[in-house]
Amino acid sequence: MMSEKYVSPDAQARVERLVAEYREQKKALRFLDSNLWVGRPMQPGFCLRWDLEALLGYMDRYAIEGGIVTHSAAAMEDPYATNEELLDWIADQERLWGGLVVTSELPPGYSTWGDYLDRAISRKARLVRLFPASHRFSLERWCSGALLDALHERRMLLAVWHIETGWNAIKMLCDTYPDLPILVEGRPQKIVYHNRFFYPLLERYPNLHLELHNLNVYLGIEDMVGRFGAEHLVFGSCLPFNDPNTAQMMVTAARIGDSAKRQIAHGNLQNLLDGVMVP
Amino acid sequence: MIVDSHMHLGMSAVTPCVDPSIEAVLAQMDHLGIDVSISVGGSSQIFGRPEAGFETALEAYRLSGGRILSCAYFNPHYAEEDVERARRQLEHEAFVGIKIVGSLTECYADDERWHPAWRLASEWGVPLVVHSWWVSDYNPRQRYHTPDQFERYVRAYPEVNMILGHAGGRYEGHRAAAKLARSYPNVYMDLSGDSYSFGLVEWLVEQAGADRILFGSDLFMIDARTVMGRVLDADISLEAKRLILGENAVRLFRLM
Ligand SMILES: [Zn+2]
Repeated sequence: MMSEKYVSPDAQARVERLVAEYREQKKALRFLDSNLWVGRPMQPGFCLRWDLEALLGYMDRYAIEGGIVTHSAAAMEDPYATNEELLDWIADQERLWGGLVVTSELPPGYSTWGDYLDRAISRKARLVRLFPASHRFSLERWCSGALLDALHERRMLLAVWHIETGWNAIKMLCDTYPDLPILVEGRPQKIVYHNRFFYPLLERYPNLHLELHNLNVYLGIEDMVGRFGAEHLVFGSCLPFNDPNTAQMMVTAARIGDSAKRQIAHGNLQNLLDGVMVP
Repeated sequence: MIVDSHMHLGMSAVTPCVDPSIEAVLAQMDHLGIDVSISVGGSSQIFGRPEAGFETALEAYRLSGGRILSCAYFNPHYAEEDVERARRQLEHEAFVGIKIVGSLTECYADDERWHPAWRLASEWGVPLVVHSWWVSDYNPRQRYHTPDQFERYVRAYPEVNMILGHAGGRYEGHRAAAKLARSYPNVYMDLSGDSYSFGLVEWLVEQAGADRILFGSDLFMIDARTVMGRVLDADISLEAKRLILGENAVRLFRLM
């Protein structure tokens, strides 16, 4: 039924070339990852090794130069103990920064958020990930004001999964804390169905960023870069829960300019890391 | 040859789409080197305007010079009408398979009412593409088509090649899909959708063999690049990548 125009005489060579080109493109983009994980999770999926050495090996294998890593147990177990363990693990790792999990409650032994965050930042923490739904607290000022003020003052990255809060709350954060970089992640559900929420927000708030690992909208990268610029998009892989190639090829094969690709792959996150106030 | 064996023409109000046009699909295919795309149910076919969907499929075939192909769509609540239409469609070279979805029709995969679809696939010697997934707290509708529920039909119609769309959808679903594929030679799986588990491609190849796995995107919702990158960079042989990216689809859908 089909004509012979579809028959490629050198199919093997063609796939070989596509693989080689893709791997070269990945290397050239020097990916910096906002969403790495380390430590044994309860549901490991198909990945068997979750220790730091394994993570560094995966980063080399998949052409991820560096990134922010979070402890896989932090959101379920004692976040403050797991944060400490993480910061110990990465102390000597030049390629890694720490992603903390905290609740609205002050960590034991601290009387201000500033003390806790300054100490963590000096130990390479750069991001805080909040789980308001799972951890049962509100992002409103009456509940989280002290924490959010301290993050805001330090320009520390605030990451949140979209299902853990709502777009109204994200809008409130963008409004109330204009210098706080906010990074919305699509875990465990993709953000593909939420364009109508985040497009109006991207238009208004330069401090709002979307992370890439589950931002899989057909032609979405091109559309968002065209409308709002590349500044809002930050590469994140969710490795080793997710295959980093999901987000990587969205960038390598994006129909956008090379400088926009570099911004998304590493430049935007580098700027956010550089912006954190180190005590 | 590279074949996107699971995409959808059209658009849905539920899932915002940047550009649902056939021209945009073609431009994306050219950009990514995809030679052929198979629409496994355009939105009009699925959501209730089957004749409009028929037209769209023919238009896509025409505009693409035969590169965009389609599946006939069968809704068990309109069995007689849809069988009659599917016959008309399968006479046309733009149609290369049949698609069924349990959740959208609220009909369990092992229900009696799916017989006509399987009989059609048998009669016409075309693959039956089925939506498969696993149940989660936030998506209970997926209970209609976990991979294990297809066993009854897979057994009853050994001559029909069934492609489990999304390869079971989530971790437990992937395990059930691989188990079914290991047990029955007429079971295949496609990689479309948003199950991005680290190691999944390698695991499926190891469990079921690369000759059972097909590349697919789930466009107009999901971008093909999220799947293509995982196949290109997987720790599997070049031959396996070739099979997954196109040759299995060529064989199953008889594209040559
Ligand atoms: Zn689909």
